[in-house]
Parts: sequence; structure tokens; C-alpha cells
Amino acid sequence: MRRFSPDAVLTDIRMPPGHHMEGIEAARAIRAEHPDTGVVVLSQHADESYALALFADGSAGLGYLLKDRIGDLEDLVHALREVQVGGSVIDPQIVDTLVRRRSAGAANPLSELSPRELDVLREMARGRTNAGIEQSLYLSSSTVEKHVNAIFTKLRLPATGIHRRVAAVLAFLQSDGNAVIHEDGNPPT
Amino acid sequence: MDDSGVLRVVIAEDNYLVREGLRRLLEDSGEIDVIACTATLSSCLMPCVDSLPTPC
Repeated sequence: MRRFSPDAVLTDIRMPPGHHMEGIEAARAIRAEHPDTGVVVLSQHADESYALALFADGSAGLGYLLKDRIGDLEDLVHALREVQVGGSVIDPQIVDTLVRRRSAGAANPLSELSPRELDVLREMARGRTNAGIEQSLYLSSSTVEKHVNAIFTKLRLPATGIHRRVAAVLAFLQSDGNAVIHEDGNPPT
Repeated sequence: MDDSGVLRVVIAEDNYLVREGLRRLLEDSGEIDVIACTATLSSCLMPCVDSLPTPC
């Protein structure tokens, strides 16, 4: 690297010895040691988690392209030029995946609930009263009441005209609440 | 980058056919000078290691 001082490195994501994410680790190491060298990582994976791993500490000088893109020489050369000047490049297919996931999350009102609020709502969907939820989740009465009110507020359920508890449970069931994953990537606890 | 605007690029790819395909593709563009190719990362790309890739 020192002798060659390339403007950019083009690397496969899976490299020996592990054939896992060595390309990403190398890209981050190269950028740390040689900030004037851009790195484009090529991947067969449309899984956005690999791209997010690459950009976890910043996207400057880094690119993530799917190998399908290799056939388009113009795109490939553009990516190498972009990372060389400190820009970043991400494959359009990855962007589409991220946008779809984000849109799905935004459309789901349950995505606004905290993990604990989801726990409470799940217990409500099981037919438990506030007292029952206190026992099943080992919470105080005031805590359960606070979570229930937060649920009603976040689901934008009006105080009058509907049975808010029923409406909240319906929202939970319609949204497949058991499958809700929070933005931190963890399932509800 | 040299005065002509040609980018100096290193290719790291363990598959020979893909590596050679990339090299030829990029060099044919006239905008890229592939200065080295490598099949491994540990021996050449990690900045903490001084050994260098083989020039193409």
C-alpha cells in the first residue's frame, strides 16, 4: 500500500481466509491508515446490513456495489473516482431496500412504541387487564397505566368516541405486532 | 492520480477469473491504471502489513 499508494482499492467483500466480511474490515483499515485512498467493496449480497457495516464509522471514501454492477463499466469507474475524492457510493439496489424498509416502518404505527410499550400492548392483546399486566410483567400499577396511556397517544387514539383499548389491540393484531423489530435491530423484550 | 487524470487502482479479488476480468475491464476504460492485483487481503492490503501486492 505504501509503495503503490493507489488512488483507490477495489475489493471483494468475501476474501480469504474466512470468506466472510474481510473486505469490509480491510476497507475500514485502509481508510484509517490511508485517508487519501478510496475503497469500493464489491458484494454479491443485496443484504443492506453489509453496507451498513461498511459505513458504520462514516461513509467518506467508501463505496458498496453489488457485483451485478460490474458489467456497467461507467458505474464502476464513477464509483472509483467518487471514493477517491472522499465521496461515497452505495448500490441503488441497496438504497431501494433501505427505503422500502424505512417506509414500511413509518407506515406501521407500532414502530413508534418502545419495547416495553409493545410488551404491554401484547399483554393487552392477550386479554389481560391492567392488573393482569402488572403481574405478568412485574410492573407497578402506575407504570402500567403510564405505558397504556403512551400507547394510546402514540397510536393517535382519540380519548372519546372509541374504546381505545380495543382499538389498540386491533392495531397490534393488524400490524402483526409480534414481528415488530425496533430500529436498534432488536426484537421486543 | 497522475496528470492525465488516470486513477491508480489496486484490485483485491480471490477468484482469478473475476480478478482478471476486472483488470481488463478497467484498463480497457482508459481511465484506470490497475497497478496491482491480489488474491488475499492479509498479505498486502492491511496497512499494518508491509508486504505488497504483485504488480499486474
